[in-house]
Amino acid sequence: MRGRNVSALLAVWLMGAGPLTAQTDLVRNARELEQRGRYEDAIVLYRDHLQAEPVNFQALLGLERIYTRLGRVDSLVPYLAAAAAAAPTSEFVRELQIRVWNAKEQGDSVEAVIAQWMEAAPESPAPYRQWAIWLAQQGRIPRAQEVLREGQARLGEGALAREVAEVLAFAEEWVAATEGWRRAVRMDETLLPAAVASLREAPEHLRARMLGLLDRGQSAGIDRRFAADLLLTWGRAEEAWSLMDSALPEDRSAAIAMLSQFAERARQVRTLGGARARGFALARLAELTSGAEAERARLEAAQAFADAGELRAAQRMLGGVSLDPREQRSDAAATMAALIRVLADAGRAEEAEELFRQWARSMRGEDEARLREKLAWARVREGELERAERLITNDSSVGVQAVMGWIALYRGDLAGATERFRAAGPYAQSREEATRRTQVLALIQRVTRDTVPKLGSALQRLGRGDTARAVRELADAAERLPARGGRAAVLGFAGELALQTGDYERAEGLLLDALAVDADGPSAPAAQYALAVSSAKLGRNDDAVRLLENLILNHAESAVVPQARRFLDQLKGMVPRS
Amino acid sequence: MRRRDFLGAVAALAMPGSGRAGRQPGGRDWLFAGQPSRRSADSMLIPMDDRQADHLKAYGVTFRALKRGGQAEWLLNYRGGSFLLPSSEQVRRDAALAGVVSEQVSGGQVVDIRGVIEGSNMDAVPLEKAPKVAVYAPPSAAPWDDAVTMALQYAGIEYDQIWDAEVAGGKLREYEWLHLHHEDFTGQFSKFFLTYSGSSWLREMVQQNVRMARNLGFATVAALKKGVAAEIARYVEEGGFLFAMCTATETLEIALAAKNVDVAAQYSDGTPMDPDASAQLQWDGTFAFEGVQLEISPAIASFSDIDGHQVNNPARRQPLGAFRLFGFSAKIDPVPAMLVQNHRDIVPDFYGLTTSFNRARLKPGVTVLADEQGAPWVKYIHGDFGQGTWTFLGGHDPEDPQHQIGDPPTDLSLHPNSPGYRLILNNVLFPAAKKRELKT
Repeated sequence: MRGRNVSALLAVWLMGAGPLTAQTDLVRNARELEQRGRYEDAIVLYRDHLQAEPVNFQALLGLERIYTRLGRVDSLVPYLAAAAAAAPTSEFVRELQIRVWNAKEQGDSVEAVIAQWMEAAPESPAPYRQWAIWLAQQGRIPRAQEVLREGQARLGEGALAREVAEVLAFAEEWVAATEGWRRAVRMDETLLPAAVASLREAPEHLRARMLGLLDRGQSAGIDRRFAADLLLTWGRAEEAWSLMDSALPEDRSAAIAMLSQFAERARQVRTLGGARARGFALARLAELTSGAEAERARLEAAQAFADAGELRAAQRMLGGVSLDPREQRSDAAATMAALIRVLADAGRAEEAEELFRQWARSMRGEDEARLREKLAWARVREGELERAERLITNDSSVGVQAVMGWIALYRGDLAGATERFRAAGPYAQSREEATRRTQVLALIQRVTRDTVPKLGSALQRLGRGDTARAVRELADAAERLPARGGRAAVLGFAGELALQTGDYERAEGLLLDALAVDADGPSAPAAQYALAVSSAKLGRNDDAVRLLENLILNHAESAVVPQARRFLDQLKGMVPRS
Repeated sequence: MRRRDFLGAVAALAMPGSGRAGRQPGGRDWLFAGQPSRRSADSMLIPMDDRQADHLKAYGVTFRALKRGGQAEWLLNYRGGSFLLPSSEQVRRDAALAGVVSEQVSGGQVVDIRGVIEGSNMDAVPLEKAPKVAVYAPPSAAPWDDAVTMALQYAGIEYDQIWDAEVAGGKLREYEWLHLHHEDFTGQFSKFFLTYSGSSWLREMVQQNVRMARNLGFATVAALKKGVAAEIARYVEEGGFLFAMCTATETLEIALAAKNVDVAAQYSDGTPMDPDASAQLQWDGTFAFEGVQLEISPAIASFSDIDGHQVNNPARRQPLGAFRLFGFSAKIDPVPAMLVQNHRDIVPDFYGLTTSFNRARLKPGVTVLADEQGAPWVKYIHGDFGQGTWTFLGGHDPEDPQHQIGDPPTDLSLHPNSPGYRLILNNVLFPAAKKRELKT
């Protein structure tokens, strides 16, 4: 991390180097030769050019590149000496000299160059800055700090404030670095992004103290903005928004600029909190602006709130926008798509479908198809299987295959569901849905009948969140299945569900029944594991230990064994409970 | 089938030696359907090379076999330092439950193995008795605070936790092996005062230590810890095995060298450290180091120049590299060879309050077991002291290289092949080796 930080520091500071002179033909020719690998020819041209113009940056850099590549960096020294004599205050030349001596590991020569530079430019902070960087690169942090203090003593505290803070952060003195950056940013607000980047890696346990320095009762607005930006970079977007809200300046245009920047940065956080904070910032922006600008802010705020799952806030934002699907505005259509998604996820399929009918023609084909699938899925979860089917009739995408699989399953058509789920593959729908699909597929593949309506309706009940009733219906459906043709698997599945809902007594009964039906079938290890968990939950750790040991010893090849072993370790106190 | 029947059947199966019992009353023959068939074999080899699925628990399987009164052999340098145990139902069951890979070997195969060992830099060291293990740690310390207790807990090796009262009461001599938790024997509470001054855990730690000092008749915690350090030195001198990690290594040495010198900061004992303390330290009664310069500033959480990495001293902090385990002649130097048995030679380094040991501060005669090539520090050292031995390993937690206070505990089931943790467990089994083999 240290190396990267110093490089970043160096890169930022190097950007201040003077403008390069225009390329002459000679230099261009030399560059071409260099690119073709004709290094000796290129050296001759670069040298010729430096005879006439000793401070030609392109030629000096060209020679540095080639000599470094050839391991002859010594050869550059006389050209750099000539350049330094011609332009003793040039930051570019001095930096190049430092780089070369550093490459040769001649620290004394580096310090000599810096001394010459200080003498030539006594009022410049640049030599102190470069010296401090070089010392920091050597790991000599206290000396780098001393050099910066010397520079400040000579040039005033305003000089080198940024560098002082950078070196403190580099030394991982995070609290002191925050204080250093606070001073630097107060002098120059444009340093705020650099300050935040430099403090990004501060350890968790020091962050409260760092924020405490910036967010005190009488803190200046810029300090609070600094704190807000730090919170944002640490992923604490909502706290960041609270601070930012209280730090907005009176000046309207300044406040608008800050809100826009904050909303953009919050977009990068990519969490629900980040989306919510972005929504708040854009809503405030809409209040401060008018006309088309305000409307755009409201639309974006609505989308951010929708992304955060904040349905009411999204709808409130849209209430302030006059939207007409016939205008075919892409920003409006995108916002509507987000809103429809949220409505569908919230189980409000009717409203979502109504909005979709109005806006579908303004949407891009891909967005429209994805929304259809989403709406169909919402209908499936409501138990409206026919309406779901109508929405996706002519679509053969993998997502739709998955939805069609669920429809078949809930109708009790196990063979059809298996076929559709296989066609959907492992990537359709969300990761959670894909996992759930795989689990159900594993279950129904153990059922030897093609059609079991009672099992379908029990699984549909489960899909709608009524787990307790689903468990009863699954047990009922299992009774009608052949002992080794799915009864044990369905009873085991019902037992695991009961376990998940905390009904441990019921879970235990179902799991014991499952094992009594088929104790060595493919579902037996999972049932035994679940039985061990329920025993532990009921406070019978000794029973749980015996069950797990039995499972490990008798089903050594089962995929459940690693899980069983880990649980056994936890029960015996061999590993911490996570 | 109801719970009682079912669990009864499971219990019958889980009993060692029950074997395949055939059909059971109540039709629960399912319990026995999946049990692996057993063939007779003389011995069981626990390989410790890359075939092993859980190196750490393999030590536990061996330890428990010894604990039950059995015997074992440690095959130094053979397949990563494997173990050879007499084959028994109990050992097989224990290994299977622990997820430890074991191989049944016939008498003929054992002869072949011995042939390979005879002709190579390998040896077979008999392990005779499970050592009685003590961990020196405050009563409030959870097992997850310390790498050794985590390793013992995970491997299933029994240990007792003892602290100052037990040491003062002479209980140390009841144990063959003593591990020092990351204690600060200078009595300065790990110099955490600046960074963690408001923390409740630090307040509690201080109160606990002050209470203990008062109860045992010491004026200060620093004086108490010097007394405890002296007892520990006596324990080793009389034949005990000492293993210490992290800051316990460095501070134990300082406490032993500072019998009549004030090395504790004012916040600890009410008087500032003697400004000339470094010059007055007496190193003739210490285990490993000499000529040490103490860190005088109470504000820097570092004790001396023993530690090469100085993790809490930003100006001197060194980056982590990797350390290399030395190879030893198994037949001529079985003790160091045992301590470095591993399936990896190069191990990633890890920080602790004391991470490594400055090579320039080592006493002559100290055996270096691992170092970082080209660096001025070593990582793992060992030596004799009187009738006993000591081993120091720098760093806090081999699988949490940047450990910070408050980090979640390391879950060793996620690191069952940790080469760093193997070093700790080598130390636990080493006292089990037959005495004549140790004295070379």
